[in-house]
Amino acid sequence: MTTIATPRRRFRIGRAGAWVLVGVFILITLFPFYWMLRTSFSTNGALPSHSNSLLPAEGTLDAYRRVLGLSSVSEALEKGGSTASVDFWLYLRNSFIVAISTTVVQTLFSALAAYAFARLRWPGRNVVFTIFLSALMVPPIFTTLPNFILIRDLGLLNTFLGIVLPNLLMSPFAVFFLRQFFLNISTEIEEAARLDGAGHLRTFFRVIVPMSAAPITTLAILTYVAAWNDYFWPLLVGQDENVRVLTVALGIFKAQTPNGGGPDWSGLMAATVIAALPVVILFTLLGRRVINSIQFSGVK
Amino acid sequence: MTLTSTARRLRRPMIRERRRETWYAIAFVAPAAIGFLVFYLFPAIRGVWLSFTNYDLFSSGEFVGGANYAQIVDDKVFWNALLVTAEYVVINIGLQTAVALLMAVLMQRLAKSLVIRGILLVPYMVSGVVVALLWQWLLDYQIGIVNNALDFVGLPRQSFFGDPALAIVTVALINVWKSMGYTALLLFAGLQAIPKDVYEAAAIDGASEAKAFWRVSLPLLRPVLALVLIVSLIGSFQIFDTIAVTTKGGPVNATRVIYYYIYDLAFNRYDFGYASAIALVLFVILLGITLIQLRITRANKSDLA
Amino acid sequence: MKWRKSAAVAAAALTAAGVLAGCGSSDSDSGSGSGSGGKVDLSYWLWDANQQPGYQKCAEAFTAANPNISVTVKQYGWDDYWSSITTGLVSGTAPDVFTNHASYFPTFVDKHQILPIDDEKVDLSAYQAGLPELWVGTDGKRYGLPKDNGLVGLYANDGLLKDAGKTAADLANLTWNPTDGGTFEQLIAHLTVDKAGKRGDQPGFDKGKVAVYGLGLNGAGDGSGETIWAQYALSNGWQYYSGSTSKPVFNYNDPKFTDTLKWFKGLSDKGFMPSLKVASSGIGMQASYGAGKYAMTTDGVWSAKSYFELKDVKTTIAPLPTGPAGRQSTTNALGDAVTATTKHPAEAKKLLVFLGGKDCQSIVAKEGVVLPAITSAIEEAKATFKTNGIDIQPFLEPKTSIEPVVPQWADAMAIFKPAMEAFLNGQTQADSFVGVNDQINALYK
Repeated sequence: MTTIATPRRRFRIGRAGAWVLVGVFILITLFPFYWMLRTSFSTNGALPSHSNSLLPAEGTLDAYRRVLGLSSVSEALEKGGSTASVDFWLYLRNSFIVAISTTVVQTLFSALAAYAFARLRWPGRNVVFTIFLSALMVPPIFTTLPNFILIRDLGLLNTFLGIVLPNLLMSPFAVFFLRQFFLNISTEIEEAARLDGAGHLRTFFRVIVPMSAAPITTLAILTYVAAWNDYFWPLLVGQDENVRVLTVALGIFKAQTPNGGGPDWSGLMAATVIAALPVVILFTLLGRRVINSIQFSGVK
Repeated sequence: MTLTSTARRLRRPMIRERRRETWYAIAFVAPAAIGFLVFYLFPAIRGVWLSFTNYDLFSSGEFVGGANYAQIVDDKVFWNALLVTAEYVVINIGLQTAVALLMAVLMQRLAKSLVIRGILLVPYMVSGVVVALLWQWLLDYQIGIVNNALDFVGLPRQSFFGDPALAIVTVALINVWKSMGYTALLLFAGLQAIPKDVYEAAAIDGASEAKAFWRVSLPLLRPVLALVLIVSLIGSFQIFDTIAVTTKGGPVNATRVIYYYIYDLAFNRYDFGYASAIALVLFVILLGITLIQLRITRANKSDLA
Repeated sequence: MKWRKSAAVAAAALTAAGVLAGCGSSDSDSGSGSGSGGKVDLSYWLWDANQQPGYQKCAEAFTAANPNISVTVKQYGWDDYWSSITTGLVSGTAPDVFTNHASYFPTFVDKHQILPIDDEKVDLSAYQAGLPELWVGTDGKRYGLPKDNGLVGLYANDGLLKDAGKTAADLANLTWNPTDGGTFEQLIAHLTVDKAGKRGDQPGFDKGKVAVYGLGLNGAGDGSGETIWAQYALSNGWQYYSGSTSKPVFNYNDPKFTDTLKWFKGLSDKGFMPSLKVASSGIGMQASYGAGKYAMTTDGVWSAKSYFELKDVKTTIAPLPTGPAGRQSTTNALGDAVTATTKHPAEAKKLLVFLGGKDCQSIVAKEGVVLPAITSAIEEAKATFKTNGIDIQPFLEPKTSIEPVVPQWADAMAIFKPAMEAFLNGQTQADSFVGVNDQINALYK
């Protein structure tokens, strides 16, 4: 009896310990978000003196009203906020346009290129791929300024095209990532399709894409999140009201002055919650598919 | 005779087929190639040229030969920045990988719940600037909840951003927090791909959880791990927004990482030529690291087969 | 919404006034600039959200007086502001007029990115002494007009004063010297309390467990030391530099400066002021002050409004202490600049002069955010501050020194800032500033 009980008990303790660990990870992940919510329901004036309270300091919806432009400018300033009234729905629409178009087009073109690099035989393939790959290492700071001047010369400042163009046609990471998966798709299925008389384009869309649905979805999600959160580039290129994206609009809640005068904390947190909401909703709706899509069954 | 003629007969459509395939390849690569040429290669070449000039953003700049590169050699701040960046990368990648591995194993062996995996992915969805601001608020010396908690349990308060010994660690930890769940999910996916019977075999051999991890999971996970490492390493070297928000390179130069130094030189001090030279050095370093990593990945391939 | 309506009414009233009073002047307008008579739209940028409503009203008043020129006002946070200005100047998409800062000004002059306004007629005697010189470039040309007067004062937490048995009157005549800190340091020590409730001037005070610091610290600051250490060094008879603005010789090696710094760091060592490590680790001095962790701070008049918005903390403002060379404060003024890339230089200059002039500054003064640089608007500003419960008279008491406005400031600061941080962290001694000073002065040879 005892000889069996000991390992089992040890096993149980181990299991309990492991669950505790899972709990700790979840707590560490979620607590900062709770704090974000708590701050967003507080008033700026009361935040410092209520720093020990786990509940909102003087619970209020003011910050949200401020962010959504529902309170007047002078009222907002009195609450320690900024004058930014945010035309939320317009900026939300703009963010969707930018993020969705970037995701769809970039993923498509990157997948096509990745397919050519992985499955088609053509002279200079590996050399060209290596050069493409090196783009992954070009510090973005290098490219920002020339690209900005280029976009200006093309007359695309303050247009959606100007905002998305540098990332529209490819991303070195996407090409690299997808090629890795395409390399490992069994050649037999592809050859069977070819024997049936399918062209390369048809093979790509009918065989390769369905078989790589998981990594392609993963990549699309990553691209979407990156495009949604992009800040510096749309700040430079899309200042006009009609194309301003949510992150740029909410950047106004960051530090206002060089010395002292920190950000409008409750406004900033409310803004972040609002900006994150569409991503979180999308994520909840597609949750199962998104999380399950992250797979590596192919990598070798 | 007959053999060669059949071969020739076969080869001709094959050549035609090859040519066709090449054209398809060109068509498939073309859009991405245009994007690459216009938005990566052209600015990069321009950056290389600028690194040999004293370009200051406002005037076109004169050719100064290798002066900028000569300056790098004697630039103590640059070498310090390189060191600080290395420190950051080691802490960030090391810890992130270790924690993510642990999380991935826990998810695989214990908590396969989709909800848990979903929760762990949330920090990755928030922009880096917001994450940095949030943690600056949480870690404030006087009124941050973390320091209040330390104080509450009787531990001394910590100046997470102000202490030269802690600052870079803090920045690294913030980014571990941001991407550990995402990395864990990638590794989890890798673990899922390992066939069940390998574990069953290990269990029959009487291997413990720990043993199964070291003997089975880890070796079979190596290619996925390598892929994840390449990408996160390049990203790690380009750490910028957390530092721009929290420490701005200080205290003294404790968090002046290479990328922040480049940004500061280019956009605050308008020394774009010199900044370009440093950026190019960074590019060469990253290229070297990636090539080494790719070689290791390739070596690992045989491991898996 | 409420504001918009009232602003619209105000704008309508101003427009009506402009139509009534400005018939003659609008004729001369068309002569001065856009002879074609076409409409001109100018853009104006600023970073301080608190000042935006005031300047919005100014812009509307300007359009009322110049119906053919409309002005769009935009505000960005400090960091985004400068990256947008820089890329804007490089690409020709910068605004026509923007709020400039002294630390960027000489560089923009050097690189010919902003236009001189010497051809505009301005009465410089209308401004408080010294401030107009700020916006003269190293080439001797004038590029802007001072708008505010960035004076520094002492902010004290009323409740903590009371706990210590002190009143606002005890703050009015503080003295300071670099040797023992004078009555100023005595007060700081008395206001400092450790966790056991012992005050800084009582035996048994534990400097390792401070609950309330007598004086707050707002980082290490740059070479101007604004609000941080400059007021002490200046009142010790120190000067930033000698020589001209184009070839300054800095005095960071002066014993008057290093003695002051030794005293300043001594406050941290004694536990009366947070160490730099503590002070630079978080979201800022005002938040710690608002949480009752700092009994006093030295801060600019531009921050007064946010101090008085804090809940649970009542604030008293006092003048800075008097040193061996008297009571001294730094001063600094923001000013506007016309970009070299503007398509409408004449109209842009006109806007700049208007924004820095009497009418607009009177509007700004009534917002009660900053102290105007133009003398005529000071009383209005005082009155507005007063209705918000803020007495700004203490800010006006010290003599003033203008902060350095010199070329290559960013390069000089890349040397100075780490050195100052290292000194305050105890990694180097005060004599390290001799070498730092040589390095900085070498930039101007």
